[in-house]
Amino acid sequence: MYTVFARKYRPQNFDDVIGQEHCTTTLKNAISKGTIAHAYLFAGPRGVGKTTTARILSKALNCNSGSTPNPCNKCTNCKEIMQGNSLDVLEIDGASNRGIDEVRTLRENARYVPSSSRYKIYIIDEVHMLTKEAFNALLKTLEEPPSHIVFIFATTHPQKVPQTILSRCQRFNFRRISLEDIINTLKYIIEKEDVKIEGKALILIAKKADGALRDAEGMLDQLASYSDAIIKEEDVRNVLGLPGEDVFFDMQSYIINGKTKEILTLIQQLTESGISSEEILTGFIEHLRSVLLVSNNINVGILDEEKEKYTKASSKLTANVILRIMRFLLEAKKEMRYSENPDIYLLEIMARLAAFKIVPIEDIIENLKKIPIKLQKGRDAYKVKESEDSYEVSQPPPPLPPQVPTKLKDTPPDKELTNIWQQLASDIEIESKALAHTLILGKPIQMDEESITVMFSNEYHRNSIEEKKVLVEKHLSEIVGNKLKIIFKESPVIESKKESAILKKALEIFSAEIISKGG
Amino acid sequence: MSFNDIIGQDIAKEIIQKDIIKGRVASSYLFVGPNGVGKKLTAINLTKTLNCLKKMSEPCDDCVICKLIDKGHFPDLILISPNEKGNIKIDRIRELKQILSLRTTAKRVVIIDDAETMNDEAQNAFLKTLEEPPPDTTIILISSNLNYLFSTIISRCKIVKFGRLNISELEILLKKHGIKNHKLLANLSGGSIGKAVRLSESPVRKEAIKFAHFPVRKRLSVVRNLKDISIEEFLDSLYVLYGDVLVKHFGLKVRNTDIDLSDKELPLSLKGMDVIREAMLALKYNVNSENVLYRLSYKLPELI
Repeated sequence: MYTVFARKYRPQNFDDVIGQEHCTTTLKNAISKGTIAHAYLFAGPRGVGKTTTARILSKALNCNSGSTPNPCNKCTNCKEIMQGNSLDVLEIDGASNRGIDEVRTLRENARYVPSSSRYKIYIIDEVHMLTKEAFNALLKTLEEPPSHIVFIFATTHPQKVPQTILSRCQRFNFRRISLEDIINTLKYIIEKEDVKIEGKALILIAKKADGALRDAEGMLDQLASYSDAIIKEEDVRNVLGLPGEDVFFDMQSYIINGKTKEILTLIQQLTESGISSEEILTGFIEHLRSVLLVSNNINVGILDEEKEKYTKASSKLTANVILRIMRFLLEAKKEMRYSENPDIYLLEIMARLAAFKIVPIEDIIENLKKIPIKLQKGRDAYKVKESEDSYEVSQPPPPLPPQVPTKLKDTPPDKELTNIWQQLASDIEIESKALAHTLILGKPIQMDEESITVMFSNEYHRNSIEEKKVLVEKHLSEIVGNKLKIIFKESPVIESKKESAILKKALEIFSAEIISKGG
Repeated sequence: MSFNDIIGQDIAKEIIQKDIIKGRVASSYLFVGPNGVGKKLTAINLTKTLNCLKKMSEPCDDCVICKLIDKGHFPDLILISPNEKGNIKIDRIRELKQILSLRTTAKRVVIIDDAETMNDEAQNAFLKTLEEPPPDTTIILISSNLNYLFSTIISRCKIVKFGRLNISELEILLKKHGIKNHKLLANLSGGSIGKAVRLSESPVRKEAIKFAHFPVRKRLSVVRNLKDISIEEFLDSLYVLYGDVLVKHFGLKVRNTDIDLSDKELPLSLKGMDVIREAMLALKYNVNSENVLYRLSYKLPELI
């Protein structure tokens, strides 16, 4: 049976593991120095070499030629491990053997010494899938295992592994593999397999792999069987269902120029030709990313002769605008996942995007700067009205004083009187908040032994107090001690307006301010 | 039934057939594409071709094995599909592993239909098998939605993309199955045969069109009549309709080819689509469906 590239070219030595030098070097040194931990945890994304490294490590530990950083791959032990039938290297699928019973069996077996090698090695792949009980059952063994035991855990989700397990392991974080490394590895395979491929096609595959070597090898494998003589960029796009680069340049220019009709037509054509709308959206986001990075001279695996195209495309856009479009599209991509009609959804968001008027942030700031001036004007206009019956004239304008004090300024009242009035309001508040609030609006002008005179600028307020006169008087007598009558008075609005207009003019002429006012 | 009987999907068929000819059939495949475009059929054809006694790039359809497979009696074709609750659980995968641990003389093929319905445990339990299946075994995962599959599963398979059928291909197919209105249905479904068939049997689209054109008061009566209709499908039809209004404004191809849509300004269709999507989302979050529809009745701009 045919073996796929990813399995055929699985590294058999630490040095062959691509892009994980920080892990392999540490492991090699540990072996040559004989400082071997009893538990390792390999964490990292898919297809970067966790299981592979685990197998190499077990070979390195159990090789017949002694524990060595470079396993011979020839001795029986190495061979058995490679074929997966070594008695002392147990590769356990953590996802299918996830219960406490399996872990108990493992614990039982761990007591026995290895049959023919130095170490008994348990590789538990997908370890994050063990149940909570299983993890807990493992804790004691993991902390102090017999000296002949080595555990190697591999997982893509280290955050799902309990802290108590993590702290008992030596952890190695595997990284995504860089574009360059992927390209070089693919080149190596191409040479070995005698496959021909266009440079652009190779880069496209490497990019699509998104840091996972296994994905890249899988795609290469597929294309090697699909293409006849040489793998062309077009083949890659066909097999992977990707639209061409040019499409994205068109989309970009349509969006910037607000050509809604053109962009919708383009998208209808693309989706009808069988390209999935998710692929279009993802591709477009990636395209924008490339434009952004290339315009800042950052290498993203674009051939030199194409760079100019990208730089040109970025010339009309500031980084801010690109980022804003990308943010919008990323949001949309999230929603598209759950859409029943992704094609129509794509049309919708593109119509929205083209309808946006894309304004550089600098212009917006420029516009914003104008707004405070307008606001200022608005406030001044308001103040003129207000100052008709108050004395608010000053340069520069202080913040608007609250309404009540301004009105009270009319006749600075007796302090004691005001206190009484406020006391009254707060007493009444317990019974009726509305009434208390209306009371505050009134201004007590004078008080003698029989009566208290209050002025209201609003007839409605006066009437509503007058209705509750009995209640107010009752409370008042409680405060003052003797019975007082309340006399209401309407405020002499017109008069004060006149007065204030004259006063205002006087203040203007003398550029003075009011310190106190008699009467 | 051979590869030629599968309508469209030229690239997918080419990939598979070339794999067979060149002897590069992988140990695990992932067939991705919308429902009802021929993924399972291709998988069965692959099984037939691999096992056919005549050993060509096409199944002969005549030998014992081909006939056995057609009848569903071939022991080395293992078909796993979701249970009545619509998911595939870890037990099924464990069972499968048990079967796979036995040797076989034929080219064994495992087809997992609707692979995205495997729950988390099942997917995880499958990883090791998927990466290194036993010899002479090919596992084919079939899925219409990759978002529910782990990236670790996807990365272990050779991915074959199945495009949607284009409208004319679907038309031919619908005609073959004797479905009336095949032209309209082909357009409406946007290339998915499953959707086309569902639409042919359901009055949902008519109700949606009525709903969109009615004023609020009359809309409520439509809502009350929706009892037998799935609300998701109702919203879907509405969404397609407002999408049509959007593209109609720019003179592009619409899906509801049989009705005369009046030309509306862009903001109306966009508002409509937004409101409908909001309703869909609310349903997903288990909001009372009646409330969702009432709210929609008030918010959706009229089409008249």
